Amino acid sequence: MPPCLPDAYNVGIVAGTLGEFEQLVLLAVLRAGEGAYGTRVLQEVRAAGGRRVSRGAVYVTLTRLEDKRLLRARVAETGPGRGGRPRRYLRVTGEGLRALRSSRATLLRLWTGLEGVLGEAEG
Amino acid sequence: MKAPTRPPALAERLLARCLPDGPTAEAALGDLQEEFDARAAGGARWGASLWYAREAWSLAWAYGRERRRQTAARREARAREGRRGDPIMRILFEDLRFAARALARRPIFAAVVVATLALGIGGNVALFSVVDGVLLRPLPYADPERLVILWENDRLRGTDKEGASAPDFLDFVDMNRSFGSLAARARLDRTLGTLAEPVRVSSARVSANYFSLLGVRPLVGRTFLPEEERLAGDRVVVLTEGLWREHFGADPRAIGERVLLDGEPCTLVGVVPAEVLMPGLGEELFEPLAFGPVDQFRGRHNLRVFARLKPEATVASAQADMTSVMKRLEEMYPDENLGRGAWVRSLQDEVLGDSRPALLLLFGAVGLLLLMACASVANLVLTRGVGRERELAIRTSLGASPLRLFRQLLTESLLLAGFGGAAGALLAVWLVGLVRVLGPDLPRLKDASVDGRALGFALAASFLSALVFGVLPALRGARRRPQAGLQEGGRNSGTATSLRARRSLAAFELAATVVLVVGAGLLVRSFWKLQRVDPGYDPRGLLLAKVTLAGPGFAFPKEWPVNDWPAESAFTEGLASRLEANPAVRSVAFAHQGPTDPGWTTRVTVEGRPEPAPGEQDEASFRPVSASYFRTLGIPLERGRDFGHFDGPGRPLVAIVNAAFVARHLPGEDPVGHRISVFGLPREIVGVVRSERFQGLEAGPAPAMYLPLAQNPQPALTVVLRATADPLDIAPALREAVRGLDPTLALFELGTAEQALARSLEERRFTLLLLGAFAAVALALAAVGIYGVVSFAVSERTREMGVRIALGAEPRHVFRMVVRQGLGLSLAAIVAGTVLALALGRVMERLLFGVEARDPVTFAAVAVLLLATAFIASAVPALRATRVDPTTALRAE
Repeated sequence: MPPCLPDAYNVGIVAGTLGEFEQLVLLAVLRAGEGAYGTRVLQEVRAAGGRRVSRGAVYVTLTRLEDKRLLRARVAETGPGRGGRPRRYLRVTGEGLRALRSSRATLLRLWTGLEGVLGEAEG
Repeated sequence: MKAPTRPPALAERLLARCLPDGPTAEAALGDLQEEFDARAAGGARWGASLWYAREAWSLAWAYGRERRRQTAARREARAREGRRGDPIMRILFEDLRFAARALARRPIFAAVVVATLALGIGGNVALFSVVDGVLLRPLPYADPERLVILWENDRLRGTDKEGASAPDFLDFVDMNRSFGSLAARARLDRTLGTLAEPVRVSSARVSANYFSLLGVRPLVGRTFLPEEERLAGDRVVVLTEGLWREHFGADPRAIGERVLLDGEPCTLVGVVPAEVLMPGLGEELFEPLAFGPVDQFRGRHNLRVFARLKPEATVASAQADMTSVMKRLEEMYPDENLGRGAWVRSLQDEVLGDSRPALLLLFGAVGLLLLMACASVANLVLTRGVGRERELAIRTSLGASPLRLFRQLLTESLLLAGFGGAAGALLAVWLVGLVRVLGPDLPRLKDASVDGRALGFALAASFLSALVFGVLPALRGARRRPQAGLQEGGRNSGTATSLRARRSLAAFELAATVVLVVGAGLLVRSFWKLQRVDPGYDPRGLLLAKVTLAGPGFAFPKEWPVNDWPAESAFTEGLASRLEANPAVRSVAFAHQGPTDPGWTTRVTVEGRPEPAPGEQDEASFRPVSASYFRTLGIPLERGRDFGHFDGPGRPLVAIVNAAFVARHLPGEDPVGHRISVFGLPREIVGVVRSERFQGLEAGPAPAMYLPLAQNPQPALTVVLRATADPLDIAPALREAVRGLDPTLALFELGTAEQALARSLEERRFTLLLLGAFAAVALALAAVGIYGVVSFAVSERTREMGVRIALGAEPRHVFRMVVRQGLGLSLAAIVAGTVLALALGRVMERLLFGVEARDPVTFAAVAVLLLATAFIASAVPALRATRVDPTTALRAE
């Protein structure tokens, strides 16, 4: 059985906000930089999250973020190695960046003043 | 096995199917293959394949889940939009689906409702089919609404449906200004020979234009030509379809063949379709109508006259026209036509009019039954509504508007009615079949069927029922307060009003039941009285059969008056001696008309009385009978003597009259010895007999004079046999005896007198049976209604009962209290129903015999019956109330 994430975790419940996993994937695309295509993004998420994340979850989220215009894809031909199939390189759009900033700001506001209660972030 | 160098094909196919089309899928496949190649190149080829399959499965699963999520989101968005005014059909569909689910959760409730409605709707559709087939559908002629029948009437004797005489008919043709064409017909019985066995057929002599007047074309051959309206020359005949099929195998080559009619050869010239048959007349063949010397008499009213209105004429204008024609004829021929008028009646009314009151009564009754079924169902739906308070309250608090709930509840009712209507239509098909088999000999009844119109009626009835039984509960359901319903165990806020609504419905059912049961009761009383009417003779053990003496051996004497016909005497004496040798035959008699045949009347004068003023002459039934007639029938002689064998030809002319004749013509006198004049011949009255009801049980005894058959020979005879045992057992012997005397004679209308009497009551029996069935169903529905209301009230008051019992109330007090409640409601309903039944009584008057429409016995009996029903229906829940355990009742709160 593939891992299955609850909807609330996966998807921004309110339009215009980001779900946690969406944030994760967007940040992974940014980290991968120019070479961000499916497999690379998957590796970034797995590396950062430190947990088992399925390819399906990442790819579906990528598609959804594209639909929300937070990502844009660029198709690039790459030799014969992939059975003649192109790579799709992904780039975070301006809107995507704004969404990430807004999420970060919200989280930071909420975190402020709670360090005493929650302690410093581990690691 | 060689290690794979390519990704597993199955996994690739799975991905192609599950991933969204286009570049996304291409890229994902590329990504997978890229890594697969890398892993395979590392040597772990099997591991690479396994990895590929796992990744492919992960992608397929995730995308499939995503797709389902999107579909659900879209549907939700659509539903949200729907609440703001989506196309009406979609809302309806949604409501229907919801309603179907709601009903499926309560299958027994749904089944009971559907069955009740099916009964109500099915009964209505079946009766609609019959009424439509018999009364509403036009006759199968061209422009049937322009066809009329012309009756003569006699205001001096108070008759309204007499035929016209041939001279009158010819004058109508000349003098009228209203009719495009007129045709006359006269009925007679014929023996059709040339077949394996002679058969008796009823024939009509008709004007040559009869068929074109009706607008009926022959199936094969032709109809009559104007020049064939003559007495001499070749005779021609037209068959109806039924006879042609039965005896000629529907062979078109039969045209031109010769057939024997009463022994005389005729040429078959054509066949007309069965539709030409005028319902209730049932002729099987047609001959041209020709007028002979006997038709010169204006007093011989043997023709039925049919006419087609001119385009500008109406029945009313034609009536005015014919009234003036008759007035002129009255002035021109005062001897024969004084007091005679005309009655122009539309053919449609004529053919169907007589069955109308009974059918409309039944239709009204079954309509009432449907209303009752609706009331029962409304009651059931209300009951269920009480059980659903919580559901409705939750939906209200979740934001469902009252309108939305109303619509939803009404949709449920519509769905129930739809199922009820469908089941009802099926039931109706079966019921109509049953009515066609069991029903009386109504015109066109055999054609009744559940057709498109009937199904349309079923649809309308279902829809209307849904409105009738659904609106009240839906209104109540929609108005519910959410808090009340949500309070656990709390008293339902709607209970009081709901109980009131339910009481009204049950009361309505009971009142309607009063009407139906009173109707059925009045019919039962009429039927009972009719069956006890003394017909004036003893019908048990009597066998009747008709035979007409015609053909080569039976040439009717040509001289007038006919006082002797040896051929007939030979036949009657021969038949009597053959039959009387049979030990099963007690006695044999012959008559021109048997005891169940009204026969015909003729003018009679009593000698020594002042000559009556013109138009005041009286008529009496003319009944030639053999000497053994009164003895065979068991008609007692009140005065004088019976006929004997000596009252034959050449002997003094004698007559016996019945008591009704004496009461009319010679009241307070001894009629024996008086002389009467019939057909201008004086006769001496030698005896008086008790009156037999030859006009049927419903009519009173009519004046009649009996003449010796031997002095008044008649070709048309009825053989009357009294058997020692079952009269039908001697039927074969009778046939054998007739065949032995003359094999060309056909015996017809053979049956017992009791059968003939029962047949005369057949339509009445049928009406009674149906109305009785409706009343029984109504009674059952009403009893269930009362039971439901009272037991509901008891269950609502369980706590109160518990308190009462705990405080020392005795069970019989509780019982009385509950029953009183049920009876109080019933009494009010019965009073209301009785008032209604009294008001509606007039509708039934024509169907009653020997009882008043306001017959107090019937009304009292019905009231008692219904009160008893109401008592039983209330007693069951009342008994339950007395057994309430106070501790349980109080703890339940």
